[in-house]
Amino acid sequence: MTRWPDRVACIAAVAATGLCAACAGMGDLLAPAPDGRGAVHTPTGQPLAPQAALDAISLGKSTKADVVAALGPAISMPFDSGYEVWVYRWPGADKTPRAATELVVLFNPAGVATKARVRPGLASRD
Amino acid sequence: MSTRGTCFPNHAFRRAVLGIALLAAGTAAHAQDKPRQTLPAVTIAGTATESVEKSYRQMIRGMDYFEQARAGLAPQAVLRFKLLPRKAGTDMDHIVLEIIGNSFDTRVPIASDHTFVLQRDPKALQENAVVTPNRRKLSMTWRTEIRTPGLPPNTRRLGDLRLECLVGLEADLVSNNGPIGRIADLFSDKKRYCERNPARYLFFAERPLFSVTLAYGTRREVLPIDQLYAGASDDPGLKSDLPYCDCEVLVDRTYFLPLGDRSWPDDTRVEFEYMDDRP
Repeated sequence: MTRWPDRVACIAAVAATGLCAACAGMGDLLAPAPDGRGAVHTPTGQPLAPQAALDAISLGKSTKADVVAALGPAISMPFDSGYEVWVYRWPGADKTPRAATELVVLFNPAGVATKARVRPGLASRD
Repeated sequence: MSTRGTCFPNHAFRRAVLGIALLAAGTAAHAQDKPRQTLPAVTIAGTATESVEKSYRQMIRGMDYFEQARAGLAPQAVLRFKLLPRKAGTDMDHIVLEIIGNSFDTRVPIASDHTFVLQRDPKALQENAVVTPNRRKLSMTWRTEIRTPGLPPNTRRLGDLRLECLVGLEADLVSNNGPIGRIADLFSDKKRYCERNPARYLFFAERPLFSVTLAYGTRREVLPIDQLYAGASDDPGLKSDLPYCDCEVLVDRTYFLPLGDRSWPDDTRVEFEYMDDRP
């Protein structure tokens, strides 16, 4: 699996043109983070369904530490604004990001969860 | 399924960069081999920084393409061009945008949302004028903005965005003029590129995104997280590469769309939930 090509096209295009219409890229398949981030597990190691994981988050109250304690480490995307998006995944049949069910959590700059959503996995495209 | 569209193998890209670096190093080494001598002083005209400029002719070609293609994709839509920041701290509110030819320069008004339109000017075409803002190279980026009027707030129309991709490439906002310009030829078949599924054309929302949903009739689909934030969720190395991407300071506003998935009609609504929306 290669994760580079699209982003490399971006880099190449920027180097050539100063504009990137194809920035950043994803690979074809969903691979777990090397350290296991993004896979939900309770402190006792029990599996947790997406809705149960969502219910474990209290919007306006849960901090990053609270969420880590409840669900384990996530794939995190911090932004310059101070907001941060965390993602947990339940892989689907074909291991693609599209097929995976996702729990997405938004933390405000104070580190408190303000939004969360579950996106059910989608069928593969032919 | 393959998502590789504008693919260029990593090793090949690195080799190209390395080649340029080696060429520069070789030139420097060669210079050091020569005996030192005093050279006469020279005066270099111009400024130390390069402006961001685009070809007027090419942008007009984009406008022509819009006129030809809009009946099929976005019959009610209006085309504007848009300037976006590429570097933190770029002043976007006092930009002077000009069309500059050999014998004239004309100022182009910019709206408060940083969009503008180009007037058709035979003289500018004849003189192969450039469209240039008074900003340093790589401090800003460009996109088309094609909007059907009357849509609800926080929504776009998929057909408009399909046309944005096509016109954006036709207008040569991705141009072919650099040291590794042939790479940009990958964009030359714009129709095919913009009909990929998913198409790797980066769109920018108005504000930082929490989710993007496609809606047509009763059918609704939330985009997977890998279609947001320039693919950051599955790309731990993205941050180090951001300086090379025109999404550098807009990552939280970026999204990809399944432009080539014709099961989503052009009238599909693209709905945005922003980070700062109230729950």
